[in-house]
Amino acid sequence: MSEPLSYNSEFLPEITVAVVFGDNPQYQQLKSMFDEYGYGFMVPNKNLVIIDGENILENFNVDLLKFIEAHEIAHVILGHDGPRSEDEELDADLGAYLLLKDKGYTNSIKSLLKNFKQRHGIKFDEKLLKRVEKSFS
Amino acid sequence: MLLQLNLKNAFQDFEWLIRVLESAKSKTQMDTVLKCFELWERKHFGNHLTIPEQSTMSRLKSNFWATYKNKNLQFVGTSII
Repeated sequence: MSEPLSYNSEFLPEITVAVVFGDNPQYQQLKSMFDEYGYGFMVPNKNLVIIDGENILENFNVDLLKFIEAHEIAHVILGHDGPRSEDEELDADLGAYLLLKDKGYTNSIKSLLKNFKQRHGIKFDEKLLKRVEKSFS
Repeated sequence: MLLQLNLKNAFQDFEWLIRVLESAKSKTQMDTVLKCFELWERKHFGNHLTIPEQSTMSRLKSNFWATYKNKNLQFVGTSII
């Protein structure tokens, strides 16, 4: 698995998605970023999202990978470029929900909803989508 | 209904597989795609599939190999030159 996979995001084609696996020599350098930011992160001013490929290896979890991709693309669409904040993370998950729903990725939405309360301390409610809907219409 | 669900999940994962295959830019990336294809097979093939589902899955496999061989020509050609 040593060569990262890279492809244009299906949610925002101008963004490249790179999936890096554990046996890649650069993985150890990226590991600290994954530890800090979670399963993936966007690289500012590079139109690049990097995702921890180790997450898909167990049971070929493409649903989780699509959720991560949608979450990072939502950050881009919402124009988040400052330091990480709880509000921005919440909005990125809400944006990801809209992106995934638009594509009909119900299993990825299940991944999102399963962890929503743990991630944000509140239960998911469609009323929350009003926070971001304008940016995704 | 169960048939549709089995295939829906397999199709969605397959679409991603084809996306990364078509985007591959090197022989080593092709090798990574191949490993993902093996993971896809392991996840979606098995005794739980009905005969019609197995038939559909076999067509997907054939489709993958046809796309893979076509794409691989790009890199084989480069190494000969």
